Amino acid sequence: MSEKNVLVIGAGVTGIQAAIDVANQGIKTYLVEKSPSVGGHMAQLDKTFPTLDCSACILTPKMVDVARHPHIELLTYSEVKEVTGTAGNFTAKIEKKPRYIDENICTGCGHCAIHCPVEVPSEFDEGIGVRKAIYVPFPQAVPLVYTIDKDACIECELCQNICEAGAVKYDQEPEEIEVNVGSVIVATGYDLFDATNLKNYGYGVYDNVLSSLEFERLLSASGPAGGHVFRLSDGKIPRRIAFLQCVGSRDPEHGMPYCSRVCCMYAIKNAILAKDHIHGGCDTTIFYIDVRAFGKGFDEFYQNAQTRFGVKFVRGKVGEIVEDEATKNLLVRVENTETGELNQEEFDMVVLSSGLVPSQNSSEIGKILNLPTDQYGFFEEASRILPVDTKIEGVYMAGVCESVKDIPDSVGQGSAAAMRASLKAI
Amino acid sequence: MEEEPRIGVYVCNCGINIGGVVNVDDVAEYASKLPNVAVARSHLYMCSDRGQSMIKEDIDEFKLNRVVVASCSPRMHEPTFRKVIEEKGLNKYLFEQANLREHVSWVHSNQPEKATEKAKDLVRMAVAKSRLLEPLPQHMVDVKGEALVIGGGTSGLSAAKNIADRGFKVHLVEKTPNFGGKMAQLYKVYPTFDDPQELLNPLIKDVMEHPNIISYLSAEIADIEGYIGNYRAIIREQVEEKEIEFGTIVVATGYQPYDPTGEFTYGNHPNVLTLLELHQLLRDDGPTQGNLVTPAEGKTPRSIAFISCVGSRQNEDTIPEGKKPNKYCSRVCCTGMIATSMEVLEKEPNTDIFVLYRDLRTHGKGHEELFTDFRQTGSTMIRYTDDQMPLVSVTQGSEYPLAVRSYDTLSGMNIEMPVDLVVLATGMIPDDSAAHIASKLHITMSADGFFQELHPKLAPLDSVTDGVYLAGCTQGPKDVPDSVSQAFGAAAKACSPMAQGRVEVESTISVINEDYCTGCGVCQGSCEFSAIVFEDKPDGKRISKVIEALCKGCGSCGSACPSGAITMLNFKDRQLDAMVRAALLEG
Amino acid sequence: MVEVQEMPKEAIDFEPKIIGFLCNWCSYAGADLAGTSRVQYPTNIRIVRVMCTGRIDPQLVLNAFRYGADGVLIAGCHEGDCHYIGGNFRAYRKYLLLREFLRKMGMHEKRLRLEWVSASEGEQFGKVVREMVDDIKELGPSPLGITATGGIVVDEGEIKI
Repeated sequence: MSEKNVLVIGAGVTGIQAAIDVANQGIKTYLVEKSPSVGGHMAQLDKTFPTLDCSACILTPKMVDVARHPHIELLTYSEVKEVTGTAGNFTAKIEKKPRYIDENICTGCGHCAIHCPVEVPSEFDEGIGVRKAIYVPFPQAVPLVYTIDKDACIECELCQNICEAGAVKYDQEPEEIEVNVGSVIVATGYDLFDATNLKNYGYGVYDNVLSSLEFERLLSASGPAGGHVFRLSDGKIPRRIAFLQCVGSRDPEHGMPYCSRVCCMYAIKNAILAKDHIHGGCDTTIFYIDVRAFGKGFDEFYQNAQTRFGVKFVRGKVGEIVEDEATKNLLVRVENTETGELNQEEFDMVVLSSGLVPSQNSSEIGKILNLPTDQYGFFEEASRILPVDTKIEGVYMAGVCESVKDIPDSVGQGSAAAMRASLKAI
Repeated sequence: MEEEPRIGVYVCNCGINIGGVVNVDDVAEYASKLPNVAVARSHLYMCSDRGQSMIKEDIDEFKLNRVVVASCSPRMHEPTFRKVIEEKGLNKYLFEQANLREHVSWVHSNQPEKATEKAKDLVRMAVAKSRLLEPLPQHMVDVKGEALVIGGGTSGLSAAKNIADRGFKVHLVEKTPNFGGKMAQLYKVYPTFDDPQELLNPLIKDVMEHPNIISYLSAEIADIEGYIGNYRAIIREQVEEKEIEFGTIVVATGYQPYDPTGEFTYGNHPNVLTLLELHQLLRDDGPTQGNLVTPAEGKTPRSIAFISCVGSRQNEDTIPEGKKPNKYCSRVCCTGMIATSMEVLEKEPNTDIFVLYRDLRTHGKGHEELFTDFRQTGSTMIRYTDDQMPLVSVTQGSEYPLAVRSYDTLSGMNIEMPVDLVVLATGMIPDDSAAHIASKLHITMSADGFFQELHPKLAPLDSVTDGVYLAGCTQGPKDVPDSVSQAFGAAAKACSPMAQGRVEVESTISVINEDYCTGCGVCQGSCEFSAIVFEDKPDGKRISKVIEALCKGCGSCGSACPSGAITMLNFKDRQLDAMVRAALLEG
Repeated sequence: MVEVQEMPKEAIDFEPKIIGFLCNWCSYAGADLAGTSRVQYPTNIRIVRVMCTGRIDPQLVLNAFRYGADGVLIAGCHEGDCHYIGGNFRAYRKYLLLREFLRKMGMHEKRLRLEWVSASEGEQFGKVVREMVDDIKELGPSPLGITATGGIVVDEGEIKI
């Protein structure tokens, strides 16, 4: 065991990988996650591009690894409140929020949730599905321990009475933990661009206009629809789905000037999955500016989408979406830049390929650590050839909090940050 | 095994991935009736915490000594489940997995009854093998705390420095006389317009002065042999040969630029250049001292056409005869092309720039903003598709030496551009040393010819061979920050076994039954890894013996042995035969 | 003079039983890729995973036919790609010998198929299985029937050796 430790903030796939790679070198690692479970956004996805692997299937072994690793101390439902010191000698104050459940006793059996009378929209399901006031965010959660959302809880005490293990503890208090570490890795990920401000698309107004993450949850076998895609307005199966690219991205006026890099690929993937999941057929059209299929296997995936799966591509940024009040179908108005024509086509459902922005968590952690960011909130790198070093010595970053990237690049950066962090912990 | 097998069978729904096609409960019910099966269950997600706990509880309750999980491919979760039973004190080789997802539900989606029957057969086969499984001892090998880094470009340098900083000795081998690789040849790196020398020189200096790094320039690897933790190589530096020993390897052989000879008149006229060649012209230390002049006339170019996707995104119809199409995108050329155009405009603001592209892939950090700036320059962008490739021709008696003709899909017009220079944004292909390295290290290539990672998401930096890691363009085209990230990551991967000092290797190796072995040596000839040698026994008999740490468990020896003296642990003849019997005779 | 005779075709809905020996690194991964790509193929094949096709003892193949397989597929890595360098070449040599031997046993050579399928050839794997099922449906059930003891039984037709 080395003398010093490493703190990893954020336990999405990037933070998980970083923690594993540090711990594998025999260095004690604290992995802190704000939500009740590790996994991040990757756990919400149905399948990943370009290989169409089941996302949960490839993520869960790593999630379990991180919980079991002898050198990793996993602190979920916890937040870093303060970090002081310098490289080689940081002190971090971490608050463990009360779950009102004793982690050591809860077996994850779920009887409490079955009987809980309160239902609220589920964050994990992007508000489409519901969860109880006592909940785990998703079935493969790690740790598999329930949490009581005190804001939703009506204090009926049914859960306490039902729990055979006696794990419910209403009087739990927040716990403050102080750790001393040699270096810190920030892996706080992203939020999806909120398309509500794009009035011309009707997101948040029209029932059948969804964000990409909402659509992922519909596609997911463990999601609110069990993997069957249906319309939120009437429960009918959509037979014509439009995917709109560059929602928020490449849009200095209403969103961000930068490219969100993964949306072309995830839209192609979702279009293919829509066709796969919807029995009886589904037409999918992707409205794009440039198809950015740049990574390993990406272009081949793009070709396949057209030739094998019949996904249609129309070059044009959609100008406006209008809802038919009676049917709740959507009219998509776009200038097809290849033909020069102004088109109007009706769809049953529209999925907005929203861009990725630095997460709210990134912003908070950035302030705590005094990390310089660029104008969008992504953390700045020390130099072109030190891409995972932040401008503060001893603090490293990985994943989308540094800049938008896909899963392989995020995982690779997690390992990179682990290398850099380990040098300050030996 | 003296004790009676007591098998637990677990059939996974995998959400609806399996359960949506295969009647998983039926299969579990069927399994419960097979001989030696003590318990059989179905579950939603066997790989989840709950699923894994279920197995552990059953091991206690039913005194299980074998476990079969029927779920996804063993290539995915075999290690996961092996760990589960290990935690309960069972040897991890007492586990067998049946593939009901990749090999059943996903490929027979419209045949649920037949798929369910097949699932039952596969479970029966796995149970048949599991009856005959034996515990295998764990093999640990020591790992030498020294690394070999192949390639002294940006990735190799970054990996070497970090491994060395971590405290391990590094042998850094570079085939050219200088460190810096392809990045050192560039004029600038983008989108920050950094001078590559300014970025590289401190790193190169650090590497050359580092007490833990031994640098070999103008050197090549003549031979490598060994296995993780225990490698030996001969490095040939010009004429001198040196033998070294080390524990891990980072492959950072990079790329070479695509050669577009025969395309777009390249090779037929000196004014048709690749992007890299244009960079040489722009460099202050280049052939024209940084003056942008045309090679043929030596004059400032009035107009330049850039053509993207040369050597990338090809298909069989668009490539010259005899070449294999590079179907992949080279990832960096769009940004390189746009940024270099802006460099040209910086030097010669009056130049007319034409950019011929298919999709403009300025995707990285800061790249789109660069493209936005480029669009302010008033340059012309022409979008072509690969069914109508642009044509470049040498003009006769015209003011301009070259003409480019292209159909623009956005205006619907055929456009002809008279130009002084044509610049081809050529893609990346694997370095020509890659094939040699691949054969020496037994690592494989992906369909695009670059080295294949063990798993694109779970292990993007590991090669398929333990102890060998991949960094930079050797694994696929990428820019400088991504290459460096990968290099740091590969360094972390290499440091892991070295920091631990020892690592577990394959237990599923060959064993020779001394009584049956006649010492004929046929097995030795069949072993690619030199893992079998003769051994003289005290009674004077000479037989063959397996060197366990070298054995990869491939089984070539076993099928060659005329006496039937060799078998492969965990893949024994009778275990495989039991599976075949189960598939055909039982059920 | 060896005369080879195939069995008469049986009922139209004869479903061949095919055993496939697939190597862990290439063809098994290719079959996995066929799965992730949702390539569809008939259910007739039962796959046995080995680490390398070089491992396949001819006796395993012969036993498979003894036990009643109508076809056997050996699928390994392409030339030069074997994870253990040359195991696939060895498999090929054994395949040639086996093919001869089986011919003399009265088996049509299409019943034993050797294919190189890489880890990235999911489509190819599906195609191979489809073709093989079609081929063997044409040929009918294997002339080597089975008994409960696993011995060789000669069916109504004749096998002249």
